[in-house]
Amino acid sequence: MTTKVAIINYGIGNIRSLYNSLKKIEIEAEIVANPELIYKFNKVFLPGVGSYKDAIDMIKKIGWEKPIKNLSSDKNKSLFGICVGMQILSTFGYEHGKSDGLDIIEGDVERMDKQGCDLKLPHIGWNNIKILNDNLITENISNDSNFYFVNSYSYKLMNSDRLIATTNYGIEFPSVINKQNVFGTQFHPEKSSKAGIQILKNFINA
Amino acid sequence: MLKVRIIPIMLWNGTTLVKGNKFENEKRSAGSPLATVKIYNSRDVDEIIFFDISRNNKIIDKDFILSITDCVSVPITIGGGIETISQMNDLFEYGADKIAINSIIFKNPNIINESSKRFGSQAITVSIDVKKDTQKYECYYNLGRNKSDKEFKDLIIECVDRGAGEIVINCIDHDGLMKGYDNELIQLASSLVNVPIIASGGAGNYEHFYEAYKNGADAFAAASIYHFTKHTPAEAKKYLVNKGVPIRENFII
Repeated sequence: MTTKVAIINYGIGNIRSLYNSLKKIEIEAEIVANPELIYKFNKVFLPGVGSYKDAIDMIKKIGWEKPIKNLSSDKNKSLFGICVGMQILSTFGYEHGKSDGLDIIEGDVERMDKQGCDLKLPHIGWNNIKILNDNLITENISNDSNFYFVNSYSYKLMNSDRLIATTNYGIEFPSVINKQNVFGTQFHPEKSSKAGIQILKNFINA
Repeated sequence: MLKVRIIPIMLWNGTTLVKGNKFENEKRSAGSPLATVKIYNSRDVDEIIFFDISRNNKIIDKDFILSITDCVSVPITIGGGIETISQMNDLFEYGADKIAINSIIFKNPNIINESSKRFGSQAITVSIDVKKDTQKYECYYNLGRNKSDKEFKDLIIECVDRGAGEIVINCIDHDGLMKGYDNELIQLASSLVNVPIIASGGAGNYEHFYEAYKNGADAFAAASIYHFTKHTPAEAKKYLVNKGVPIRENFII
C-alpha cells in the first residue's frame, strides 16, 4: 500500500511546522479538516498545543472521536499523537477540570507538580530522552538525544508496556509511548531539528 | 535534564535586520532576515527570537512571516508591536511557536490572561525592557522610549500571575555594549518568579553566558555577539559544555 500521510487539523496547534518538517523528508502530507476523509490515509498525525480540555472538546465537537478511534484499531494504519495530541490519547485529563480523553492508550494526564515535580513549569526547552524499550519509532536515535518540549502536564500510563522512553524533569515522565500502531511523543518532533526529523521518518517507515 | 538555551535575536526594522546600543535610534544594519535565519537554523541554534521593531505590523504580513518560519526547524518566538489576540492568532497560524508581548501589557495587562488562556501559558512570553534608575529597576515600553509607572519586581510577578509562561529580560543599559548581562537583574528575576528567564542585552563573549547561567538564567538571548563578532552559537555551546552547563549538543546520526 502506498503511504498516504495526513495531518489532522482540528483548529488546535501549529500544523504548518509539522507539514514543513515532513516536506524535508519528501513527504507531502495532506492537512485534513474533514473527519469523513481520514479513512483515505494510512499514516496520520494528531498534533496539538494548548490545553487538554480545549483539544478534546474540539475533537468531539468536530466529530473526530470515532474516526480517530477507528483508525487506531486498524492494523494497517498508524497514528502519531504529538504533545497535547498524545495526551488526549489517554483515558482522562485534568487540565481545566476532568475530561474524558480518546482512551486509546490507558492512563491519565496530570499536572507535573501534582506528580511531585518541584521545578519551574511549564517545562520549556530541550531535554533528553532515556530509551527504555527498543521501538521502531526511536530507531537511529541514540539514547540521551535532545528534543523540544513545552508542557506542564504529563502522561501517567496504566500499563508500563506502553512506555518507550522517559524524560526527567523533577519527575521521570513518559516522553515516547506506543501501543500497537499508535505512537505518541510528549515533545515536538517538528521543532526538534534533526533528531525530530529522524522520529518523523521512523514513523513514516514503520 | 533540561538544557539551557542559546537563542539568537533578530531585530527587523521593516527593511533589514538591525542592532543598536541601549535601545537608541541609531542602529547598525545586520543583514537580511532570510539569509540570517537560514544560517541560524543550519547551525542548529536552540531557538530563535524575531522582533519586529518597525511598528508597521498592525496587519501581519503573512508572506513575510512564512518566508521566515518555513525555513526554521527549531522553535521561533515572534514579537514586536503585538497588541491583539487576532494578531497572535495570525502569527501562530503562520508558524510562530511563541508570541512575545511588551508595550501592550502596560495599556491592557489583561491581554496576558486572555492570550495565555487562549493559546496556553507556554506560548506567551512577556518581554520586559528594564533600566536601573538610581536604586530601582524601572520598566520601559514602546522600544524603551516611555517609562512606565511600574517597578520591575512588581511587574514581573504580575505578568507571571496573569499567565506569562516565560520572561525575556532586556537590560537597556547593557544592550549592544557586549560587556555582559546585568546579572544582578537576572538573579533578582529568577528569585521572584518560577517560570523560565531569558537573559537579554549585553552578551559579548561566552563567559557572559556562563555568568548569566550562574545567576539563574534559563536561556541566553543575544544579537550583537553573533552579528558583529566571530562568536557563534555552536562555539558558545562548546564553551558551556566544558563548564559543565547542561547544553543540547547538535544531533548527529
